[in-house]
Amino acid sequence: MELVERLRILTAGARYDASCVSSGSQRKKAGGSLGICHSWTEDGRCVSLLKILQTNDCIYNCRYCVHRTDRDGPRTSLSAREIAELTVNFYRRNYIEGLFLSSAVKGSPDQAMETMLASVKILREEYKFPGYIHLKGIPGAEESLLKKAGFHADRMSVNIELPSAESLKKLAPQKKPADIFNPMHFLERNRREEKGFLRAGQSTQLIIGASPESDREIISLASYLYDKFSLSRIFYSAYIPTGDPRYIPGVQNPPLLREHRLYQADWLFRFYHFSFDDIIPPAQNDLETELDPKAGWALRHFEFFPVEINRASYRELLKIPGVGLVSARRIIKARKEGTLDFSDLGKLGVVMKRARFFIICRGRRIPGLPGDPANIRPFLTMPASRPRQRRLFAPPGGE
Amino acid sequence: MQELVYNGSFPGLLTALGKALAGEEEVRIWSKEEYRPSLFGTAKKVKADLEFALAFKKKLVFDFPEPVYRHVLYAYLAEEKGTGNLVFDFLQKLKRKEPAFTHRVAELHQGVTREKVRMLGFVRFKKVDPGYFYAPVRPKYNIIGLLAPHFASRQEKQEWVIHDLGREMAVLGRGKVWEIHPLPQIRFPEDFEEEGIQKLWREHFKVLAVPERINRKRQNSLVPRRYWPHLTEKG
Repeated sequence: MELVERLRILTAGARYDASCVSSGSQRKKAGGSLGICHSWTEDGRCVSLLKILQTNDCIYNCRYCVHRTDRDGPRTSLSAREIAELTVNFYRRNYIEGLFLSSAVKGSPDQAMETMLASVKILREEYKFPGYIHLKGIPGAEESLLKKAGFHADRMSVNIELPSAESLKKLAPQKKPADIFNPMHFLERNRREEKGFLRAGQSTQLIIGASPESDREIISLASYLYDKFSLSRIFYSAYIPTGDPRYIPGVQNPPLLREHRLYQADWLFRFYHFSFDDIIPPAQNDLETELDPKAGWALRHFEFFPVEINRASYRELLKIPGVGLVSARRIIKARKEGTLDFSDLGKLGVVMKRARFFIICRGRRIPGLPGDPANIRPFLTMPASRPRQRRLFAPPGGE
Repeated sequence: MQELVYNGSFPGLLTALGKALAGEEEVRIWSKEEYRPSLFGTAKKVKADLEFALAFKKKLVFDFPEPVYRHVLYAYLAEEKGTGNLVFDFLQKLKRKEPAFTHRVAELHQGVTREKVRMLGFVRFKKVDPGYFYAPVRPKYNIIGLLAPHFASRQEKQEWVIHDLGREMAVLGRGKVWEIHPLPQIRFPEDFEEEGIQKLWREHFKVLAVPERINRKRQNSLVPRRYWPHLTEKG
């Protein structure tokens, strides 16, 4: 098969992995370039890495996966040298910041890991490739292979995919939880002990919507993982119905909004000092879809507001809907130069559409806005569910 | 009112700013191209004084927080009309400790920074016949000098060119060393392997999008149309 045809097949196989970032690496020669987006694909996702599979030829028959053995379709591979040359040629032309290499399990976990290792070895040793490398860890591969890989790669990830042992048993019967968690432990231990090992840490991916876990279970798993493995990132990937419909029935469209809400929750957890119970109150099993989790918290904890922009601490500013990490920092900086008023906030990047209900400036509120959670709520929900404003002169008989 | 006229260069601007800030009276600063003689002012030509400019740069870095010098430089690179007066006004405000984060100079700084960050990703090199890696660009602001250090650290030994077609200027680099020179629009013949690699990249880019997630509106807002002509994947 021609190179371009194989590239097409192996790109299509890799695109469902959500991890695309190239940030967090401190590699000296990389030119200090953190997280540069080189383009955005038609689905609006950032391209910073050559994202590709070594092979899509797999011994496993995981029901959720495009590469499962009982699925028809061409099977093909790229050699280690082909991967290395593609990466270098794309990197020199500034198409990419580096390589994201994943693989189906061809032959055995060890064999798959060895081929990937050979690719990055050529890149680093022969081509002296200074860019970013993200490598998948194959569940069940020898530790000695993972160790070598971890010195060449900036980041590695072992994908958990299914958020509970039960779902794993049902949808990926050939994999055991230990096959996934043991290598994660191993990588984390080495990252702590060895200098130059996975400078950008490790990450993992969870598939959303292929199995019945609630948001509560997913977020609780996520907080456990961040804690236990000091993961750099968890990627949530809305299940796209490419699996075996006999085992995963009833999914027509990928739950993109649910995925989005989980990312928002993940951010609140990692950067905004929200606790697990802040994000999902004990009585709730799933995040609200029509309201973002920060706005949800603000409406449940209305006693915290309004916040005075000119006096609040950084952490207090972060709790305001419409104020992000950057705008909170800018507020702190700008108010050293003088007192801030509402008209300044937009220029500092505050989304006033959301923030206006929760703030005061110089002791004043913006006049004419509702002052209780029930009446604010419709302003913060998504347009689809927002009640339409009544017309001043309703036609006879109502609308 | 005194009017200072500088030669349009950055050292010239710094020299004029340094002189203006040292004096007490009201001053206007024009570049040679902008200056129109007026009835009331007394115009004075300011010669670009490299040593004086460097000393003034040091003073800026010393007297103000670090990004203020960068604000001045970026405002200059934005090539807006009346830069001299804008920057002078900005520095005077800072000197009087008035808030300046909404000043036009701060806006220009933000705009130039955004353009720079975008271009770091959007520059596309192609291998051309004498073995150079050549990148034609049309940035909104005069930023190829800001891009150069990044690409210098990225190239190993090869020779590379970033060509601002609109301004007819180019960064010419050999490995980590680079200089800016005027360069008219010329056509370089492409290397024999170039077409094949571009094709591979276009295929990869096309297939990478997940069909179930297509969102062209998002793509178009993140990759504005004016960048398309020089993006390989859009060709």
